[in-house]
Amino acid sequence: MSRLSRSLTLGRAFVIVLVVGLLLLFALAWSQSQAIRSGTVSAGHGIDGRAVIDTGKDRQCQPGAECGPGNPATKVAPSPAKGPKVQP
Amino acid sequence: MIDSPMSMALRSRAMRIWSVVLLVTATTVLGPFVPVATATAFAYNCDGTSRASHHIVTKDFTSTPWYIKDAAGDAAVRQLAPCNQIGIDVPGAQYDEPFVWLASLQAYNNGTDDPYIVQVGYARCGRTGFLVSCGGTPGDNNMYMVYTDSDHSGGEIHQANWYNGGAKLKVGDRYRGRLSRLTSGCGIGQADCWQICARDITANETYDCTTIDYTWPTSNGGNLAWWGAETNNYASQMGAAATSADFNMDYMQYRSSQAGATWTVRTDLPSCSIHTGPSYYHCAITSTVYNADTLFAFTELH
Repeated sequence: MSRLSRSLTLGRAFVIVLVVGLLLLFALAWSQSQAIRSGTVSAGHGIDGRAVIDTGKDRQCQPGAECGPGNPATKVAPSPAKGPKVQP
Repeated sequence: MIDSPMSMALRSRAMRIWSVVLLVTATTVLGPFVPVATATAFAYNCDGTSRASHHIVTKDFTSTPWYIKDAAGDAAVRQLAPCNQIGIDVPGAQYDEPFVWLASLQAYNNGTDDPYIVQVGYARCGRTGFLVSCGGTPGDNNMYMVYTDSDHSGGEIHQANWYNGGAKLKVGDRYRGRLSRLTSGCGIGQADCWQICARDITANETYDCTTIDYTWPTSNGGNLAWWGAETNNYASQMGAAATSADFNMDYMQYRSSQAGATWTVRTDLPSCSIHTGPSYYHCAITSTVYNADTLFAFTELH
């Protein structure tokens, strides 16, 4: 085989390897982007482990309305009773 | 050994072709180097794959006979800073979207919260990259009201176009968000639903609301309400920078499903907690209206 034809053969092999590599990289980038897109932004998963801060006090607002500057809370609410869930 | 002129010409031409191919490859793989607005205080690589999630103040009704069927809260809107893209990570700012949650409510089902969560709050979208979006929230560095448009998506966040026509929020104004489980007054075709509302308290607005289907396995609301800031990346800002005005979340309140229940505000909070994240994330409880009733979270300069 002449040097010229050997060089051309090596060149073809290099092209094939490069094209395959490029395709793999494109596939990787595409799958990564798709995963992000399909998931949009997930939030709120942080409440795992049940590490709950629930030791403050509750203050009851005036009946019928949310608390706010015009509707202050008045008294400390009793702690919710414990027990199994009931249907309302 | 001397190559023939033809061989040398072919090799030279091949090298030029490879150079072009390599350049195209590098540009494609490394991503377009889109300039990203940065805050020097947050010089951290944005190419995180883990979300830093932060529950700050919570109310747990897991073992009570009732559920939490309403949750609401206030916060001042602050300019949330982006993370700082450095290096050649691919693509660096794809996770840049910090949130301040005015109210979050979720149900536990067999010990897990997934996928049952509803949220309302505000966010800034800084995500950039191939096919990356913030669920419709414009990536223009402004703050927008956001929410969950499904109660079983595990927290997919979308822009709240139903609030003020989807307009950007006013930095400095105080906003309130509210989540309510309704059994009447829902949309057409909805037997029961979540009503999700928001309003600008500073501007004395009334609520703008939307409804989404109620699909939770719990019969009348959630087991856990929480309020706080959350990031999508360790590098994103949680709440405000330590040197910035904080978002001072107040009137963190809920209402149970018990008959005749009143809205109830969380006060006398002993502390707040960062669930996960680097040591430069912090939160604090202060007193504003009542004793220890105000929350803020911040990112330390680093």
